[in-house]
Amino acid sequence: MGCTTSATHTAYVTLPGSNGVAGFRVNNHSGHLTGIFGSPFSTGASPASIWVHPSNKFVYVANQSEGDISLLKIDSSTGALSEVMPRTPAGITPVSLVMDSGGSFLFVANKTSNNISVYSINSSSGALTEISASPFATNPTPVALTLTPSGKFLYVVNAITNQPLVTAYSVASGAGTLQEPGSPFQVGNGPSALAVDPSEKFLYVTNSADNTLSVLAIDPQSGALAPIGSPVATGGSPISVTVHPSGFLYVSNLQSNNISAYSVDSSTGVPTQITNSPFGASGGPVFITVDSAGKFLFVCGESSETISEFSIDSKTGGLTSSSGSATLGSAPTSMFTTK
Amino acid sequence: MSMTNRLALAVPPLLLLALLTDLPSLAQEVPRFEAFGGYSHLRFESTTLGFADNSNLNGGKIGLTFNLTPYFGVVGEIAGGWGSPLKVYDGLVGPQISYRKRKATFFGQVLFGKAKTHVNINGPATSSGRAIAFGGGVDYPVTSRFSVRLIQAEYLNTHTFQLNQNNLQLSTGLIYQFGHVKVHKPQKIPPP
Repeated sequence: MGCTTSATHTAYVTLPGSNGVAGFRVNNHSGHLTGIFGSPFSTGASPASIWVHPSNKFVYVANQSEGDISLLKIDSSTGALSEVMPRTPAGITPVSLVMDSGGSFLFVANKTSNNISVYSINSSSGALTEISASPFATNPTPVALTLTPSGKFLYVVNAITNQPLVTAYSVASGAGTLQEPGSPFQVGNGPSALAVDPSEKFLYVTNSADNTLSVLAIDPQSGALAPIGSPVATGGSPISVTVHPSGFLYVSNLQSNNISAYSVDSSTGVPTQITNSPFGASGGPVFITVDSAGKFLFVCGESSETISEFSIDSKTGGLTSSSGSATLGSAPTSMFTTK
Repeated sequence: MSMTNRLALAVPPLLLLALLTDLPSLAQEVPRFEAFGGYSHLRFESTTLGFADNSNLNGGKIGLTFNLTPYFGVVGEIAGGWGSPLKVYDGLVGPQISYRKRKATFFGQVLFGKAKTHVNINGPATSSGRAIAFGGGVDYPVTSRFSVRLIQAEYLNTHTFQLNQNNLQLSTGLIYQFGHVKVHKPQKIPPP
């Protein structure tokens, strides 16, 4: 009997209908998901978005119905979560979370109060403290947000009817304060999600009502946005977008039940659908994420209430469906895989 | 399956082979009952429950063997392993074959029964299910009544929380022997 090195990492999925988070152990080699004992773990009401601290000690969940953030501690041996009370107040209807790569600040989009809450994070306890200038006003209906890998710029999708926008902010290093560098940029109708490429030169926004993907160039100095060509066609109702570490782009199409996969020209940022794309993903693919090692794509099924796993061809970006899937018991909204 | 588990699986057939090839060694005093008690270590496959690694659980085991013949008996065992947040118990019964060579006794067994797994993560939860074990060990006498179980190694398969766990159980301890099995020594046939 020899000592074994852990060959797994963890993944957590928000389940608004269960007021909880499902936990899974992910096999590093096969991508197979094993349910963590005790899952789902309790959170506040209707958790919408999740982020795991880079220390892998803390999980943060945006509870959209009660307007606060849950902090949950991770048991390193079992993967189980236990909530630390009290919850931290946020704005009205917090729906999206993002954290800087150093785990110093948490940014929260509050859909109904039309602002962004920013918190500093205590690295030893995980506790959140709202910074003095927070919340920061934003354009109406912020539904999603993302940071560039360097943490210099924050982008917010504002799903305003007839005037859909992406609002750009610069983030003050070490302070977390937000400054808007210029006018927001108009995108397609029904903007739902956004992602930045690893070189942080391009921003991609899914336009769920137009069945397109907007491609925007990021000014490396100011963070301001500029359009690149016309929006790219996707499947029906693109709802989630994620970027592979090597640059492949994946979009989940909720209505057409498939995943559009693109290779991206690293100099122009223009995506081109790869061979055999789109790849079938039945069950209402509402959220997708690439595993931290870039080997697997996980698809959260809204109607199937499952997580499906695809292996990623590292050369072509092609997807191969795995036979296994994990059952959730209620509809998922977001997923985070640890390193 | 680990190398140790494979070794545990190999013990019974090797023992049977030795038994069949050395029957004269049976002609010695054999106890009717052997009561065992001692330390037990369980390597439990807790990765099936989503743990990062398998769990090492320390605990104890008691058992009673009823020898029907010098080389065949029935054994019942109860064992428990404790850790945090996990406790595992098993109660098993089944046939045992023994091979007695000089002072040492080598045995192999296949046991069937139940296991109970108790996990306490954000609240206690318990599950019971079937269990199967096979393996063997070596005993060595220290007095006329007492022997030491040098090692007992078993592959233990449990089915709890609707999941299958492949485990390894190692034990050591003391054996108290009483009663004896009547043994008919082979008659020597005079040379013609």
